[in-house]
Amino acid sequence: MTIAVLRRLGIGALTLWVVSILVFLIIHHLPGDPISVLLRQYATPETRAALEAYWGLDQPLLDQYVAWMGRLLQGDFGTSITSNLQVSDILAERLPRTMVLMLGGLLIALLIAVPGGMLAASRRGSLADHGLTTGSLVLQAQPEFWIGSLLVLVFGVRLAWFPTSGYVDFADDPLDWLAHSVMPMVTIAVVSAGLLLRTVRASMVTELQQDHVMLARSNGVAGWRIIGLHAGRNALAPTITVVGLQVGILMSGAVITERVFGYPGMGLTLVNSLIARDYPVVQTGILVFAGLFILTNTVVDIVSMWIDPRARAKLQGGR
Amino acid sequence: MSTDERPTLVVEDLSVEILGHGHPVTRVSFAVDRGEMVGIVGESGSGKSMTLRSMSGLLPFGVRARVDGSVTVAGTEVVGGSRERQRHPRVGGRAAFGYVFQEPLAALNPGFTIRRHLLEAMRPHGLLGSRGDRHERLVAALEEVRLPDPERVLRSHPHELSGGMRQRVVIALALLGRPHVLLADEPTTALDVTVAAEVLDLVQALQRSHALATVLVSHDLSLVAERCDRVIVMRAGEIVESASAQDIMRSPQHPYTQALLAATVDPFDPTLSRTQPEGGASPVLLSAEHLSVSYSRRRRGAQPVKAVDDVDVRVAAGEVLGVVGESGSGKSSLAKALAGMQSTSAGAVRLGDRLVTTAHRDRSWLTGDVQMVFQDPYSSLNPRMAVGSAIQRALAIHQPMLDGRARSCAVHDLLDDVGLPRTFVSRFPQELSGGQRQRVVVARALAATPRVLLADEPTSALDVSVQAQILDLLRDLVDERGLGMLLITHDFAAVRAIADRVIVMHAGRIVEAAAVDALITSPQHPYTRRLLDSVPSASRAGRPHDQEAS
Repeated sequence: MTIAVLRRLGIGALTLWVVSILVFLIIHHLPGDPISVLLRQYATPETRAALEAYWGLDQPLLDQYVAWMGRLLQGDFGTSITSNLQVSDILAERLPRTMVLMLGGLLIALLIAVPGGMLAASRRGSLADHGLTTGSLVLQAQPEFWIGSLLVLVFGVRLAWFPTSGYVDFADDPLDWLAHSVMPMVTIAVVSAGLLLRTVRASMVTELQQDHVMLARSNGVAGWRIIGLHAGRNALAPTITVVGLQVGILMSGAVITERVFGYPGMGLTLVNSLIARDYPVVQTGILVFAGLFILTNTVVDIVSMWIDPRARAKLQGGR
Repeated sequence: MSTDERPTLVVEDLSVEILGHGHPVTRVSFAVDRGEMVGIVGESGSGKSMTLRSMSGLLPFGVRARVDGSVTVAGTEVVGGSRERQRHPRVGGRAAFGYVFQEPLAALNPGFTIRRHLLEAMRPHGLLGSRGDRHERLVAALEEVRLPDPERVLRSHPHELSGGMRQRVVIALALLGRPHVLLADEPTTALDVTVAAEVLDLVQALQRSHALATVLVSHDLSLVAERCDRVIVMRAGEIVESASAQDIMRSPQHPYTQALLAATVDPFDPTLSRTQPEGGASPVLLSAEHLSVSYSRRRRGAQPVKAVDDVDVRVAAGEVLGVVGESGSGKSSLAKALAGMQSTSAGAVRLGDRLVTTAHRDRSWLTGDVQMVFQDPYSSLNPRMAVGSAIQRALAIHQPMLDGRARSCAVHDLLDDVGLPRTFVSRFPQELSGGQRQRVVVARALAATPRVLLADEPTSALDVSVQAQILDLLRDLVDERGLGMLLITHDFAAVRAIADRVIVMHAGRIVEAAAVDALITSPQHPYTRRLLDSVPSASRAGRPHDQEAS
């Protein structure tokens, strides 16, 4: 098991390193710089030079990169230029909120997609199938900012069921937390649900045509059991892979959704930091997002291998 | 009406209509008594599988079909009624049908252990029972189908078992509901010939000991005639003839049955004797000495697998050399190595006098001199390329000196040679039948003006009546053009039909090489004998055949 897993983790680390270079280069080549944003019209050559020296921005790019990496490897995530807060503190406060938003969105998406996809596949060609597949295509085509605005308009303003923006900590008031989180989660879920539903449907259709489904039927296994267990289990593997890839879409969804709902998560922080050219926060924040994405997909790869007994042998062998 | 007077299975006027796609089965009637085995024979599209599936409520998911007529099992009507009953009809506390599928690997769920399979099949019959003796009953179910080491089998996943073992598991699953009727749809087509014989022996033994009414569906007339009491011949959804096995073989009434019989080669038929080509004068076109092919395993430390092990082969002009073996015998690896499509680990291949390979990946010698005819004409032609373009492309590579006019003339000549009308130039593969496609594949191979043809199972994807035509075509081409040909096959009938000499391969080695007649009439090696004993033969029709090989 170890070698296959270690190899994947190694490839993940390598990818992360390439990402760190790209992020660093892109942000440093964007027009504008944090000092100008910070000083605005009060900038004098002297204060600018002093601040640049203080943040190390007068050094050659390569030296800055090496210094950043060196600190990262020692566990020092740096300090925000705009707020002077530790980046690690910002992450600790805001990343969990974003993760909860994403996981909640994913859960809602799966609750729609898995039963919906199974229903559509088992009634292939029926009205329900056409309705579900067309509906999922329509949902998939809706951008988050539009869905979010629509939800705000209908459920926030017109019906006033939920607050339109802001955040309450779970520890302070769980119900209020839920009220603030439902609409962002649904917004994130909508786009993913469409694609996931179609994935579940496609792999279920393939699976239901297999001879082993025929054999289960000839043995008299109940219909729901065939769909849920015999075919469903095998249809899970491709679905899990797509879920892993969806994490990327969920992340970008979170960035936009948090902005629409003013939800103080890592996504909103990233957008604000990017506008302020707050290099340490943006660099490290994006690296953390990339790391999460790579880690999720590594886990997904291993899990989907584990599900398939034919691939499991490969995972267990080669010790 | 008493259940004892009527046969166990009575099918009357069974018709299937796939809504919007015609009638695959039309007014089919037959009866099978307990302890009787009836064979249904037909080519692809004859409706034989659809008959079985519609009887037992196993029409594919998502297909909208209407099933008319009557099917009674032990006196109880099973067609019609509620969906649930149709899906799994039960009669007198027993399952009406047990179903054995063609491809056991596909019929078993890759994610379930065999134990899980058995438990899943027991559940609907209320057989799960107490946990205490459950394990014993699982073991007993596997022992009934004579699976060795049932404890290990229970723990295994399907991919960890051999093809024969998998099919035994499928049979065990079919028997769990103590069915009245056993339906076997091409149960051995996916298996090697020796394994197939063992599995059929098992089915026959179980059928007798359980007094099952058994329906065996197959494309293979010899197999059905050898195993069954009565034979039903189907074509285009209808029964054209139904008679005892002996009568079908000796005096077929319907012209279609006669044609089918004529196309079926019995490898043991003594009248098939070939006159040997005049001795040894023709030059050797392709030869290999001490040829080995090994595949390295990806896991470190594992021994490489020797697929071909120290093999000598010679093919002379005007000669067809049959290469016979079961799956894993190395026959396809040998063909690929000879065609230069597989790197060799040792030995030499000579084209005429020219040494073309000594080792590894040097493919510079690849020319049009050796051409392959592949097994599956459905996948070996590009579906987006018209027949004419496919042949032209081969001409452009191998005869670049031809200009456009000469090339289209050459295409016409090649179509003539393989017996296809010239109008086929603009047809696309999907508009052609299997046999026509295979003719196109042969024409494309001939476009390279080869000296040697390597035909890897050229007929196994085709219907019986078409197989004979393709084999005749290949033999004629060899005779007319003085080609050499390697016919790689698992099918002794094909070898008997057109080969001059045969080599028998087993585990990468040649175990026997002889002239066809000599090999079939007096095989020397025990493996060859076992192989020949397993070949279904119409001349053995009606003979008792229940000694189990294992």
